[in-house]
Amino acid sequence: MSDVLRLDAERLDDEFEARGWSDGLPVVAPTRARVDAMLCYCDREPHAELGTMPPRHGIVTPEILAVNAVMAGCRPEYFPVVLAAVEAMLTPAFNLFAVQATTHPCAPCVVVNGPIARELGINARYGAFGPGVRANATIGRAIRLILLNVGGAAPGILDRSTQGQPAKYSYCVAENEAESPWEPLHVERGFALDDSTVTVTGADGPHNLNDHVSDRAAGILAMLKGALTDMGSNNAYLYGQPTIAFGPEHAAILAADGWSKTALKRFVFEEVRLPRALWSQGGMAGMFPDLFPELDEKPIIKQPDDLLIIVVGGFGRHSCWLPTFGDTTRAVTRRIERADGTPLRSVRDLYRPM
Amino acid sequence: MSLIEILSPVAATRVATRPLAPRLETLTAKRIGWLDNMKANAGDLLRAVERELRAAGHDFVSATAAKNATAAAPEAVMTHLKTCDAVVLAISD
Repeated sequence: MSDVLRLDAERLDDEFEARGWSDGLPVVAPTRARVDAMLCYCDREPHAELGTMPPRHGIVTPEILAVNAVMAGCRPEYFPVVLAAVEAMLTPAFNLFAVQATTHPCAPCVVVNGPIARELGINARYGAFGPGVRANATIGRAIRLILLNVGGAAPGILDRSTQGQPAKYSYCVAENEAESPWEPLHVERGFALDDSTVTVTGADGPHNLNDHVSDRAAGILAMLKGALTDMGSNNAYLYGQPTIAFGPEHAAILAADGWSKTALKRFVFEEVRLPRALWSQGGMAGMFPDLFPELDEKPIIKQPDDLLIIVVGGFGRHSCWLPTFGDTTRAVTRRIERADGTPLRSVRDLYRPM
Repeated sequence: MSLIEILSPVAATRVATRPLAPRLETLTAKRIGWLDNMKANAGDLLRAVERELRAAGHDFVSATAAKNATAAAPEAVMTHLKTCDAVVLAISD
């Protein structure tokens, strides 16, 4: 049961900031009525324990998640996405302890697929990684406040990130499935097309991949080869599962020239390689000698399937890639579902007045 | 001043307070573990501490182990270190 406090309504944001409970932005007051409204979209018992969140090991319950989702400004119907994203982050393979506590700037990136992404209006087109749409902004912000208030990731205390990054405020997008020439991420990862899912990765902010000139695949692939050979990113040193988020125009050009996701992954594995002449001079090559094979060129992924590919954005020939923390955090996809494990087709199906 | 009643966003924990392990009265003939988290300076720091202790006349047996800084120590490492009377861990970027 969450503690109840009576605070000065006029100084609420100052009070939250002083207590270390906010991300620095004003918050919505988490009143009992607002938290209960959020929990109308949850079929779990409000105080059911869903696990503990490192590094502080706060006990995760639907109610404490709802308190933070209210503060972030979520509409109540967003809550099933927040809950699924938290469950994905608590999966051991994600290694949330390290993602939270590292000096690296990584933040959990939430990619939403399926009909619920469209139902909630999660932006998958123009500016999807940026501001402007409440669902993206507040679902991502709720995740950050939960990482802070449940997981204890206060900057400089248990979040030791040297510089941080803007995506630590909010990092949530939907895949632009309608304008993708390929199967969406969740289908590729074993879910049904009409399932809705969240996929989390421990990622850097998006790095732009700009190519306004190429109208054939070969030009875009050359650009990828140059951009992803990025000594200084953890994938260059430590492998892992980076994401390429192709803009729809780049994706269409690649697909028109016959490039499937499978072929693109193999290309990145085989062709995007850090030359020995560079990595042998410095960087972190000496730290993990077993990760630097006796090859002249070092790949950025251990196998082709470690690359995630999604389509995000509107018109314009920009893509981006999201390097990750390295191979000790793995991408986790979780279906948005009811407590009994059946898939949730619409958030409306979950609504029950309290 | 108008008051508003809100729910705290901070989760409860069950983290227990644990006492420090008993201090060793002497290092002589003890088995001391040195756990390197493989960050660039951690090994240097551990070796410097060991060197200083030996220079000060302490005569002990060393057992070394290493773990990836970004993941929990594997069970084999923990089993190895459980044979020690004390373990020194360095976290040094």
